[in-house]
Amino acid sequence: MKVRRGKSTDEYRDGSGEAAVLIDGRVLVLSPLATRLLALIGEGWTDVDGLAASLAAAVGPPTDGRSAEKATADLVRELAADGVVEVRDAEDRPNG
Amino acid sequence: MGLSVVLRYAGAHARQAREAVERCWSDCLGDGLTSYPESVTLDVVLDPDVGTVGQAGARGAVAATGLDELLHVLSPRLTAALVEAHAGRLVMLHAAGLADPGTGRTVALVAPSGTGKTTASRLLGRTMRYLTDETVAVDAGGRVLPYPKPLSVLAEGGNGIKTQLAPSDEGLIVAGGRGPELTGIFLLDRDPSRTAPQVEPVTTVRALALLAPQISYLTRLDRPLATVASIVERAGGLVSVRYGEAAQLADVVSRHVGATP
Repeated sequence: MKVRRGKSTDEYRDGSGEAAVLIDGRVLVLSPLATRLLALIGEGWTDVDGLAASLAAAVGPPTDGRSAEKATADLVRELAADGVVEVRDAEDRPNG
Repeated sequence: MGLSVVLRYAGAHARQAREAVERCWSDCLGDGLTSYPESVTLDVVLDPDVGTVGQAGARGAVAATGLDELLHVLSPRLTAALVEAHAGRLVMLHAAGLADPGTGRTVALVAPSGTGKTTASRLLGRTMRYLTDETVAVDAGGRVLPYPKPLSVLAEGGNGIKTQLAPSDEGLIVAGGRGPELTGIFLLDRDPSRTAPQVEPVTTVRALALLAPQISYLTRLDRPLATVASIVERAGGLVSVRYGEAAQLADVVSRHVGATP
């Protein structure tokens, strides 16, 4: 699975570790983990497994028994459902 | 709110409409000295003929067959026009605004319609300067532009029509003191069962999410989240207040404006 940033028009972080993102006039609050993940995602497509390794290196492995890859993919899907990021299967090719 | 308003009256009862509007909105009338570079214009039609009113309404006029109804519909239309004119320039909170008449320390009481802004304004405005019960417009420097519109009060048996009361006629303080500067933002949550207020600070990120639905034209602002965050932090952060009665809220606000900045 690959991921890139969605259509968020603005983003703000404070010292709490959380971030606010503005999407379609709504402001969503991202958890500290989601905020760290979003910081690793750019405008271009990025492999989620690679992000999982970076995230695990930054905050440690998941504590609930899931693999870093599975936990990161789950979090990416949650963010995608809210429009914060876009995802596509690894074998897909971007249009254009 | 830093704009001139031009109302063009028409209809069989145009004069009656004008006199009533000027009475209700007397606290927003200019001093004859201050001029504003921009203006908002609305056509106002009071006429007993339904057809005439319908045609005027279709042309965009604020129109009604009765005076109470006209005043009722004028208030939100005028507010909407002013807010639209400032879109992208000011942070406009759906809030009541009250200022300490001595220091200018100003609080915004943010809440959706029908959840206590006008009631709180009527109580607090007797000892604090009433700035608005609807829209607190804040510039980048934290200065609040007063909008002492009529108090819109739901009358018993009024068929949903709100009576428009001139604030000064209701004993509210509407002028004087130092320029209002926003030093407190309270997000109101009225719970009639509460016997004491519950006051909790909110982080800036969470404040942005909580305030966003109560900010007009948020997305028209340049860097909206940073702009609002700057105003929130300048005001000392958002405070969530759950309260039962307006008197509890008055205590919270009085302590805040009385506190050393």
